[in-house]
Amino acid sequence: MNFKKTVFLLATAGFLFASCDNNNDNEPALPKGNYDNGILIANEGAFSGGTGTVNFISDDYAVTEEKIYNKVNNENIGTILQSIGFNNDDAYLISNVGNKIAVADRFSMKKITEITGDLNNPRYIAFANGKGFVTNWGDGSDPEDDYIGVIDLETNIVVSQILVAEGPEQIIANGNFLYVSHKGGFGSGNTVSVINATTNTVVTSIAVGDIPDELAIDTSGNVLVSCEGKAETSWNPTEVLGSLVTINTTTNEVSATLNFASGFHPNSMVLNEGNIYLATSNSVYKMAETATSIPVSAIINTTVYGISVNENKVYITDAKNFQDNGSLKIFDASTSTELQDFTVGLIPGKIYFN
Amino acid sequence: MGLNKILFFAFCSIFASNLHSQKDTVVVNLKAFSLSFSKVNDFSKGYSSILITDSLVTRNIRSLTDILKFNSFIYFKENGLGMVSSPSFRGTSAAHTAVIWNGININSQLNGQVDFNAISSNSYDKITVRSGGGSVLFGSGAIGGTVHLDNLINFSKEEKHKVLANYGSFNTQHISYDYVKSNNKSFLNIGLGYNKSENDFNYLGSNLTNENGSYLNYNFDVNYGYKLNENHQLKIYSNTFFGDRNLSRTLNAPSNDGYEDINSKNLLEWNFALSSKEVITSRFSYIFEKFKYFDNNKNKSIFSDGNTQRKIGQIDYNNSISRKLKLNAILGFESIDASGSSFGSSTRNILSNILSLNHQLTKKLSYGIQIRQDIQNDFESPFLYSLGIEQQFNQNYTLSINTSKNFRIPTFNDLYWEPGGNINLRPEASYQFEIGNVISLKNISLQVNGFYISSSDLIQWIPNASGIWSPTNTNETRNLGIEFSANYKTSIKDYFITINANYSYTDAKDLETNQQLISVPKNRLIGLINYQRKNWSAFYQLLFNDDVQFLVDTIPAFQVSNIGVTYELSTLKSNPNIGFVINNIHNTKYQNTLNRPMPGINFQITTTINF
Repeated sequence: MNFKKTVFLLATAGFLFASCDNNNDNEPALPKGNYDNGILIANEGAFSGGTGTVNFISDDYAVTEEKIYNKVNNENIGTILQSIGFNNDDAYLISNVGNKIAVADRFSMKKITEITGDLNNPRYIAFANGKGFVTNWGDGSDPEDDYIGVIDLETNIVVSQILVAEGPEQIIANGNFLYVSHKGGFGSGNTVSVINATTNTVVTSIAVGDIPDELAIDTSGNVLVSCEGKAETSWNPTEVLGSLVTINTTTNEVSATLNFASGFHPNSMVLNEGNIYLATSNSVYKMAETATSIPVSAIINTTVYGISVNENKVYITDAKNFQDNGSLKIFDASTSTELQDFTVGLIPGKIYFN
Repeated sequence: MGLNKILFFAFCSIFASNLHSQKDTVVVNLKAFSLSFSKVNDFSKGYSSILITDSLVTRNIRSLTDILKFNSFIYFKENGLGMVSSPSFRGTSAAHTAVIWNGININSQLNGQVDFNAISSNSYDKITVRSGGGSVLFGSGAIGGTVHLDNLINFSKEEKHKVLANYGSFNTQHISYDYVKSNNKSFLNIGLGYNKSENDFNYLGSNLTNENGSYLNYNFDVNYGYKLNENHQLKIYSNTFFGDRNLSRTLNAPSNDGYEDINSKNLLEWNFALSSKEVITSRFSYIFEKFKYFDNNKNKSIFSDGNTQRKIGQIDYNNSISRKLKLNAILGFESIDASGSSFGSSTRNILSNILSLNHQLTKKLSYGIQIRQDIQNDFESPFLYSLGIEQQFNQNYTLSINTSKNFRIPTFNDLYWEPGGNINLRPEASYQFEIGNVISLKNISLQVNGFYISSSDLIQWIPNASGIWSPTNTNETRNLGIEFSANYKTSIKDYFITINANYSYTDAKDLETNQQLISVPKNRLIGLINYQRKNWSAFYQLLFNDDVQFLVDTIPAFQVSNIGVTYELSTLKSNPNIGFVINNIHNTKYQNTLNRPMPGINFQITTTINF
């Protein structure tokens, strides 16, 4: 009884203090929803019958919550939450095996609608010219049925399909043009497609390194493409070097290719405040955007499944054994010291910031 | 492995055959049972087994999964009704239950498992479920237990036809025909089976239906035996199964996948009785499996596939040295070719040496010892053993114990899958200990078995340093549990009542994480009450399955029951019977695997004609 009362009083006191703090601000920024001012972690979930989930961690680390979309809407996102795209306040949660995009308010996670028609193995989404563009692998082993689904953002319906080469993966908008990396689906690709967002047509296809995946736009307006290459294994006896390819967006031609060292095959890349972060499955490397040689030593050595960088912090997910819940580790980007470690959901793949 | 060991085994086998070629042949009558089945009886001291009777088979004939789900200790991870169905026996994984067809291990060479919905249910005279490891006798994967499918060849005069025709909800059809003609010289059995279902049931509690769950399968069986003379018999067993399925959607994702498979099993057996005590059986077997997986069943020109061909030769020497002492030595050679879209083409050769001894030491005490050493081209195979002791204390109570080392060899997928296959894998090793108690009274028999299984080097697929899923020998597990079964039979005046109950408690742990293994129900109970009076019989069947962990989710516990009634028209010459079954009478919402619902209440009409 006494104990309970104490807890209650403490809680109330805390609330009062918090309120005072807010009142002291000149312009109190009211949170736009329960999940404003925090980190969203997209967990892929189980491949067989499972559902993706989203974890929330507040910026001050005081609030952590799992399965936020599933709880708010009392329904599942769908199997394999591949990625989330954001268009203003709307979050597009892409369920890859579920062939579904759930559209929700990014701050409250309240569902607005869902897109189920004309999606086939959807991967990533980007927005340009008032439309959404979703990469679709089609049936994994069919090289002829890959496309970019064009979504009318007013109706949230896939209104047309732009046929592209096998395995369109990541997509990024640069003004009225979209750049698509062809990782290659179940095979291996080596091109980047450029799409005109007005005419919904493929403008050109640019040859890059093998297995192009992550895309970013640097401070000069170039598109950076990280290409994984192919590690030497018993089933792939000849190594193909990974590379960082720069595409001049004015000419749509490759302006620079920086080959990685033998054995270095990064599978993720993040660009943040003039620095490029490259991650393999167990370490993170950092280089200046302007650097002409690749970094030789890692800044962080830890298991990496997904990585993101924001406000001088590096966020790294670890999918552990892919059977139990994974974790999110937060590092100081300058000192590389570990700040926090949270348990998140099953196979945490992507990190976003609200 | 030392050369000595190889020589020892080779010697044992050769010695056995040499010894007996010197003896004069003596006229004997071979017993009319399949030898593999006799191994379950004769060389499995201290192990318990359940025999699935004909009536139980007929009742759940839709699939082998249905038959065993309601009549054995095995939990089936069935991906929706009629879909891919893999077993979990004593908490072990799907590749740790071996299926033995007329003495031959038929687990897939690609994934090590058997899909219990891709095996015909109407083809066998005997289905036996044997609990516990049996790798010495039954080979790779016989860790949790073994399921024996046997055809019996009898040389007694008989001619009969049997037709079974069932029709049920979701346009589900079963038709099978079985013909037997035999005399004292030859035996012929032909079997045909057909199953088809739209299978488009509603997913209870949602607005979804099983829109991509239809299935079709048929099987063709021939079993033939010929007595050349009193010392020589030839037997041919052949079973071919063709399946065509669409793969069901889950609650979280639609599906347009399709799956086709063909399995053909063929065995030629020659029994040569050297004397009244000794028999040499030579076996030649050809087993073929092939599958095609379609990403989109509307476009069947694109698929991934795999197939394996196995050629097996065995010389099996049996000697009943005395009534108390039996000896069995097997020298076997197997060559397996596999090819497929994900692993190119590979070959594997295995030489196996098995020696078994069964000894009735005193009237009440008996024991069995078995040892096995395989020699394999792609890795070193462990030495395997099994020891069982049975002590009958009085006519009501028997105590048995056994201990064994069992194994599972890496499959073609594990070794050669591209990308990811790991050619440096070792076989999985599993040690087990078991204690069994059998109490038999007048109308009731009780059996309690406690088991402990410790497995190491279990093969697990996880992403490697370059992020590619690849198998490694990492896992260690420990399973312990109890199996309890009770059978009660009584007849009062003109009615008969049978009550069966089987309960299992399983505690299966991953020793590294110290967590419960996924897909293992702790408590599982099946019950059956059968009532028969004159031409009428009725049954009530119940299954309780505990919570099952699947990764971070829990599949809730459920209880499902079926009820049925059969009437035999004994006034007609062919004794036809008709029946009506209600499955899932309480319309329970349940799943065997995560988010793959099973149907609610559904109905079935059954008819059988014998002539």
